[in-house]
Amino acid sequence: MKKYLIPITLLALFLAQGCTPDRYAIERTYWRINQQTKSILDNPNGTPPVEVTRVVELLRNFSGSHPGSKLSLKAEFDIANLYLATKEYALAREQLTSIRDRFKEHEGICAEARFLTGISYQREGKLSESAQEFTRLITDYPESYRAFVLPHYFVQYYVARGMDIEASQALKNAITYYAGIAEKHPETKMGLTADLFIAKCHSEMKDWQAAADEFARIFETYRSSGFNLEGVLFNEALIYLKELKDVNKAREILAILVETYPESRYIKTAFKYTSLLEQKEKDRP
Amino acid sequence: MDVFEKAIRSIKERPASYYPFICVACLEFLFLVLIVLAPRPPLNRLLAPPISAFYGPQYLHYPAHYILVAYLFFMAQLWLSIFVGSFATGTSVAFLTHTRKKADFEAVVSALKKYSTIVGTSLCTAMVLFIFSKLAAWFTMNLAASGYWMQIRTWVIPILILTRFIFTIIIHAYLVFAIPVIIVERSGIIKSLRRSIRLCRQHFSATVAMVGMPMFVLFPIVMLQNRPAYIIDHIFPEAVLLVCIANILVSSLVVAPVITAAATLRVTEPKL
Repeated sequence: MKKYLIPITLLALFLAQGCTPDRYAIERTYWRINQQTKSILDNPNGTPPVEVTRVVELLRNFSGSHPGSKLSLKAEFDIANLYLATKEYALAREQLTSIRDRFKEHEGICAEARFLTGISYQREGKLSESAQEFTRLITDYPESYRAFVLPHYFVQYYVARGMDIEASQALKNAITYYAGIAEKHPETKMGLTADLFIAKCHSEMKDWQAAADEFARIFETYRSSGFNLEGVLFNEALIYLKELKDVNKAREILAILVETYPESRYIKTAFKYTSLLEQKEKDRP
Repeated sequence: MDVFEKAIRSIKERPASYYPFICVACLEFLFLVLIVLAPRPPLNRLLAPPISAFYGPQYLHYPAHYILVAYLFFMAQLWLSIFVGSFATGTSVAFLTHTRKKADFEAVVSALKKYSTIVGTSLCTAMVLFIFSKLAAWFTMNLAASGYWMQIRTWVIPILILTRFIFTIIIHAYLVFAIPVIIVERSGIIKSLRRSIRLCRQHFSATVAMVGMPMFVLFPIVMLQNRPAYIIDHIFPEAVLLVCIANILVSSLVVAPVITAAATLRVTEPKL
């Protein structure tokens, strides 16, 4: 009996695992391919094309073997991202079109594919085609998350490249867009998110006074709607403290935060900042 | 080193004293297998709901599941060491100290009769270790937060692990003789603990070396087991499983038997 003990245990373990690939096994296979994808994305210029082709093949096989899995869609997007990173823009667009064709019913997926198509044109230097893609993204999929964050993306894009005139134009467009959404959905989560994006755009432009004013307006508008606005107050206080150097105003806002949200996760930091400010005031000659 | 040589010789003379530790290692391995297979069918029907409820559904996915494997295995090992490991130590001491060689069953029974005392002592040790571990964490974190160690902040976790490890060695040194005393002298919890502390005080550095040297073999493994996210990112997720298996092999099959035999020798032959 003793000599059969190990084979029996191994057989029992094998049977316990099951023979068909379960969700966990699929995740493990995807993780292994994803590690190889990541290593290419980390160094796209130094990767030989044969390696890219090999990983793309792996991703295609994975996607084909598990069509019902969410990871299969991720693998499809990974292929497009690999092509984008290795500057194979035409192949990337082909892949993205194929995703759009297959998932016509899913607005979010199509919007993401359309966004990446716009990015591929942008990286290739074809700015008019890129603008066309982004416009189609907003008109075809207006309710998608990608359409929602696109104006903010433009502000980020121009600020990062130091294109000030285009950035301020993008900011104006973004504010109009988000203000429109906030007006359409007053005192809802959608409206609040849109208003927060306005403050984000101002911060992106380093217009700190406008950002702080926007946070103050958000707090006043939504305080009666039952939303948790502790982050809004905390960010406003941080802007006054670090960017505008208005210590009194920062302390005033932190006091409101402590009073309105005594259980807030920011309380500890708020108290730390307040005591730091008091200490600074004491040390002042 | 002399005491280790004698300890190994005494285990060789009474191989039965090693079997309880093999049983503990098998139990630990069984628990490890259960934890590893928890998110997969057919075990997931039984084990996935509690994992999801207590730790969150993200730990049922690959590779995040391996972070939980390291933690749950640590917990399983802790409880097994209190309720099974301590009994295994007691049985092993009984085997080592029994004069008649063919009295195996008698040795198990004599350890079983003292089961509640052994577990009580083990619980006391675990509680003291827990309190000192919390104190070490509090001390290290406060020192780090004071800004004194600001520049070496990344070292806080390794320093914390090392501090805990040193505390563990010292506490174990003080309480290592308790179970052998219970079996050999048939004493109660308090008396055995007091006697153990007295024995340690008499030969403090020798006892710390006796406990510390085998435990330092375990240190890199414990260090790795405490950082599963690092293993997953820098090696591969299944390496967490290999670290846990290494822990079983070293702690249950090397460190525990050697320390038990050495402590038993010290209790039975105080002049050693």
